[in-house]
Amino acid sequence: MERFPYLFAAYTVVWIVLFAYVWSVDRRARRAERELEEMRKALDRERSR
Amino acid sequence: MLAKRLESLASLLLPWLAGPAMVLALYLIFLVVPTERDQGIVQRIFYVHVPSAWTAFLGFFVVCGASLLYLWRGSPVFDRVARASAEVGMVFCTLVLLTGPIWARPIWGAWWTWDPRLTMTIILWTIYASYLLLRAFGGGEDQISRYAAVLGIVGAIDIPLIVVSVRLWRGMHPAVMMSRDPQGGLRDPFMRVTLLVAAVAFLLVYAWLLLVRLRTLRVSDGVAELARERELAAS
Repeated sequence: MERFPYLFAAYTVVWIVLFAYVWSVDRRARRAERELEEMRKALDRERSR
Repeated sequence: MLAKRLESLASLLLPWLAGPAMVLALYLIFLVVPTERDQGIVQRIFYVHVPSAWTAFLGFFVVCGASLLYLWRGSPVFDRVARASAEVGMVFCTLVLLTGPIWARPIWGAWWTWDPRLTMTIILWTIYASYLLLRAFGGGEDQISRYAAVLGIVGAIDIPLIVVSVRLWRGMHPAVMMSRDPQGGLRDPFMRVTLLVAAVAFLLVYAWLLLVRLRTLRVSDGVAELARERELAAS
């Protein structure tokens, strides 16, 4: 029973690491989406010339 | 335009709601909720197992709804939603199948039994594993998306059967949430609050993961579209 704070700490650390990882994946996906959009616009501009 | 704004708002808010909600759920599970009298500390896995099951069911219902809309309207947006939700739903369904045996070993004395609810759950997992395999190896054709949509709809029929299986076939699985016994169910208010907080935390995590997966699917579809345009321009 008295070890529960350690369990809580361990699970919280695991969750924070997972959270940080998914958050960083999300950020990179957002950046990739922006770059893709810019590329599409650049291609459209090139075609209209 | 409105959908895009809502999505930006959700992707901004969800991580900062899901993160603290999960820490709060863990705090309640390990430090606040009382230990169950008969089962002891192993019962605490219930606060992970049950919300995982609810979230998996929600994920597969979303697959079913999005697949119906895809078959009706043919929009790739619905197809992407179905695919993303199936993946995230599978994560939670796998958690259900991992946490269940951890509880069952000390309580039933066996990791697994072919109880109706357990059997129906493993069937559900197999259906959506097949769905994901079809999506991964079937290619990107519209026909594969339509086959997958049908499988996604048929798979969801298993969910109501899982819910009623405890009463219908009188298996070994406890029916805590559907118990008619006045002495059964969750009577301690801390237990009820903990289950509620954990369910909300899992729901938020599901929504966030769904959004992240949707974004990566959209990027990969965008890249494929550009590659097709380039091929057309070159030929």
